[in-house]
Amino acid sequence: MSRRLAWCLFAAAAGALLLLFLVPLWSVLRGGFFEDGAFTLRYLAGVFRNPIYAEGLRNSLLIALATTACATGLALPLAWLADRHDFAGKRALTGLVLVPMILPPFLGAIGFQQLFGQYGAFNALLGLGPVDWLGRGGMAGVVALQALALYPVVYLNAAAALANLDPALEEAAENLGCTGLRKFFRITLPLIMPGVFAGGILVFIWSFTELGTPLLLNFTRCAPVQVFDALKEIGADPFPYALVFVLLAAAVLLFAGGRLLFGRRGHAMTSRGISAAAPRRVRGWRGALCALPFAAVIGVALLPHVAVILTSLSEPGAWYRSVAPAGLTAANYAEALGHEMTVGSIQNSLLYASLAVLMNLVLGLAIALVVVRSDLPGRGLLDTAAMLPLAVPGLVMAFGYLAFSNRLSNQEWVKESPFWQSLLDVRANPTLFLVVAYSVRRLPYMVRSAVAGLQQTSVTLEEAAQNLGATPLRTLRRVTLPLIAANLIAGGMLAFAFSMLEVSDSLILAQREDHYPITKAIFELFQLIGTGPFLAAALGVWAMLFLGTCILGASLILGRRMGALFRV
Amino acid sequence: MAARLRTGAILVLAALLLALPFALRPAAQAEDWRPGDPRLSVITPHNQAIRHEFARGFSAWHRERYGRPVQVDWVVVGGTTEISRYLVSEFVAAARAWWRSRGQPWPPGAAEALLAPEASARGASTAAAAALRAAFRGTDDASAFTSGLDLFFGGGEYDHRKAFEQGLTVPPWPDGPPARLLATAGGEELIPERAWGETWRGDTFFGTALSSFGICFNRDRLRDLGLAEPSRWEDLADPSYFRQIGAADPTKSGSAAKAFEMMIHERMAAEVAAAGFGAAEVEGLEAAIRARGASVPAAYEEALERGWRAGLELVQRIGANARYFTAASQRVPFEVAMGEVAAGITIDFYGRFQAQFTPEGAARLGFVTPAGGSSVSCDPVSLLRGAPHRETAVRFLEFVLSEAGQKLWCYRPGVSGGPQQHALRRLPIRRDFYPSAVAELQAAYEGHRPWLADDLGDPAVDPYVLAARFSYHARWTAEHFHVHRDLIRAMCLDSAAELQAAWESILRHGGPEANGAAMAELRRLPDRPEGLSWRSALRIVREHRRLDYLREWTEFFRASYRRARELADAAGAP
Repeated sequence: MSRRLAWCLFAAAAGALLLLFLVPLWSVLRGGFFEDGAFTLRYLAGVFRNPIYAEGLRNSLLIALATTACATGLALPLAWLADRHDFAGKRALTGLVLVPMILPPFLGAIGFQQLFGQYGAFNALLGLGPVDWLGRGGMAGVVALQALALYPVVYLNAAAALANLDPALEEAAENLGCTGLRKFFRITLPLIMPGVFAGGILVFIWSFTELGTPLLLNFTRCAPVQVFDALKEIGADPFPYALVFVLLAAAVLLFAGGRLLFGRRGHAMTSRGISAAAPRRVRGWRGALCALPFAAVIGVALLPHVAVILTSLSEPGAWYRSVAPAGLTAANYAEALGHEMTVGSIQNSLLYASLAVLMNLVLGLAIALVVVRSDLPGRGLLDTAAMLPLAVPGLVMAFGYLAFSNRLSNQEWVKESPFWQSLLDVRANPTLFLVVAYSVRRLPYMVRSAVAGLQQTSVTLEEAAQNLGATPLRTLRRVTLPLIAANLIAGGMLAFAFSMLEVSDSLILAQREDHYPITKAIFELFQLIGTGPFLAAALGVWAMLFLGTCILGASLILGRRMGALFRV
Repeated sequence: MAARLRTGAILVLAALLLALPFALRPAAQAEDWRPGDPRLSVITPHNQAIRHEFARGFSAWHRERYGRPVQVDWVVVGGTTEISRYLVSEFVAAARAWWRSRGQPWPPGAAEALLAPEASARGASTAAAAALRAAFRGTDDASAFTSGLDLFFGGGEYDHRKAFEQGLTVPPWPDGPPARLLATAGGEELIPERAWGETWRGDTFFGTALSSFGICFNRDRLRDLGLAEPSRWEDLADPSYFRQIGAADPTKSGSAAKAFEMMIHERMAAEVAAAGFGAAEVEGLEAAIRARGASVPAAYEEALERGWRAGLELVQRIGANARYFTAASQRVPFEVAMGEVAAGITIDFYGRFQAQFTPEGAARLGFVTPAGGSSVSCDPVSLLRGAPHRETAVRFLEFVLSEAGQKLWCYRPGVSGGPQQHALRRLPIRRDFYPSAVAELQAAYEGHRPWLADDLGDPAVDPYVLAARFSYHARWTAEHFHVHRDLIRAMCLDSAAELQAAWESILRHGGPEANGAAMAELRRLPDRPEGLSWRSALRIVREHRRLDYLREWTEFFRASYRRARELADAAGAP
């Protein structure tokens, strides 16, 4: 890539990040640094002087390290098994392996309580009486639940990396006597490291800032819960913004450290896919042995999903001291899907999430090209900035966009024009800001996937195309994009699924029923006392099935056309 | 071929899934609202059922009176904390644009000055900021600046009072509310201004419904634990409730904080009574103190101090038993119904509602408002500054305070004047919906009675009966509102792990009675930044920075609890 083009892409991407992410973020965080209009570091010093917050950060770091290790430990063997073997049930299992990541918000807690609560299914099944499993989950419980929910992120990236692998290199190793585990650790793992790092770092930062699971297990001594508690406290205290700043700074340092340790340039391959060795067919008990780890991991990871499905079919309060609900009903579905806000919310979500993924593709690819294919001095900074959205609490970002929209919508030129109002005033129409919010918050998935893809693909293929007279755009379209399509689809699928399930921005920015996305509709149903959680479960299950079908469909359709993609 | 079939099947499945909600979509109802008819923009934490019924009810009422229906645009951004932040963000942005359009610079610290409760408060230190503040508070004109919102409906009295202090709300009627809204034709008061220490209406906010905090409990879980049904807050301090209580978080909800204040207030009343001060004498003493800051008998103040400590100990014991303190207030009754916790501290209508949707209903789930232990607070509505549809907004206020609006809270769905689809099961604020010694009010109650979803005449439900059991003295605890919130946070939330570990150890080694030293350590109150007592508390929060005293308190409690645990372990060691 020419330096001029690289600079153009750099400027565009950095400008977009500055305008769409850093400016709205700072408009909120500055509250932690100004007092009566004067700059102060008092609140920031307060974070460091308080051992309670130091403990929170330490615990979050431990949770993130352990979750990443566990999720990678679960995902890597599965990705390798699927890549190298063909066994009965593989299609279904590799499709299902991604499903744990599409648990709709608010409902996971109910699922777990129905299963492992004192009057839950597990105690009823074993006749144990009211044993309290969830009460003492602590940090280990948080790690276990998060690893089971997040391993698909590593799996997806590792699977894409394995699909990119040139088997000739492994064959060469075998010819030279390097086989078995030695081959895996000396050849395969280093070659797929960009993909593993891409997934691992996403899981790491995600679990470092994850709020829902610690709240479910009442584990309050970690930084995200401390931020949430401070933000939700009555009375406006600027302290939480200083705490968010520290959380962000810690995430940046950790990402930079991780990048230094594991994320160095990968080993690019000049051939991929086209020379892929066919996976080995394994039948009989060997096939079953391959399927077993999949079934075990998926079985455990999908337990809350199954519980949510059963809850959605349960008469309110009928799943009580029993293995399954005592009374089943379809009424929750009829009421939830037939609710006046449901259809609109589905249409809105599809629109917001699709546009967000499109925007992600463009922005993510531009950033990845600069990071991998250029030697510009600030590219590491750009890469780090693109990871930051993952570490910002949703509530903070949502209020940042709100303040941004407020400022714009109070300009005379906006007030006077219905067009600008409907574009820039979230009160009139939040579409633009929701798309930007979803897109920015999910940008890290796309950037990591695209970076991993580019790192694994040799630049010589693009140079060859340009030597033969192709323009940079044509090279991108005909050579680069097809070569990293698996990675882009992986990132796009994650971005789409998580955009559909995005909570904080949806709750704050979509203020009127006409604009609700599906997560806000689920939240609204959840708020109805008595029947609420059951109706929310019904709509949540619908969202789960729809997203599951989309993901399965995407991997099937694209997998067939692109041969080696995910080897599904 | 097989692959194509599979792909086809997936596509068909996706299409079917997508089609399902469309198929089940309710038929569009004939809308009589037309562009050009009035609109209203209301920000609210109320749920969809309440929003639906009030939008429909108000539109019909408006059409009947003024000939045109109204479209209510509900603005929903989350709970009251989010609404608070949202309103501040909207008003500051609008004021900034307005101020600059007048050619004035936006001075440093302007936002703080704008919102500071007192003109002399921090922020308005510069002349420019003071001028801005005065101009902002002197303007209520949508053509100057507007948040785009007309009303703030729902939340707690704390949230509306705060919005008022920030200058975000204004009095709807220049000469005060119309008399017909506040009193019957016969002159009987319908909505008291203050009731038993609670403010039910102010200059800018008006209570529309009432609620109290109580205990929701699961009878099956109580049987498992060998516990009797709770009826007082003290019952929740029983060691058998260890890790079996769910509580609303007093640091995140003004009304939950009020419930904890009432627990402390109740203990203070008990100590004062035990010290020999009768109710009449207490009233006299408090009136004298209010009137002239009279000197108070030392024994009286000592009794209050002891009561305050006893109240904190009660809160601490409940905290030691609590499984969690949650910001998601519906979580508590739901988890009680599931048996995930045995009992919970929750708002009355959540408790009643949950029982309705629980199989076996009252056989599984119970709710009690502790006798004399809970005050009754209101759910207000306020008019926002610069309301773009001011006239319609004032009519909405009239509607919710009128008999027609009040019926929506408590009538059965489908009956004449009641809600259309959802029973809201809330307690209306007007006295003519409850039994009364006043014939006019009693007659009105009798008229409503056949249509009510709940028996509002039940003394366990009637908020006027519940509130009357409670004798509230603002001097005892009202000024301590923020102290209590911070203290509970340091004592029970931020030190929860240490508190529960100590409590568990004490219980394992024979209980509180057998562990005198450990209990004494557990009960200690912070001695830094200075010794904490009922009398010193207000000074501490005034003279020290919140970040500092919160840190000191939390560190103190954690260390105390660790020592208490060690003492209990040592005493229990063979």
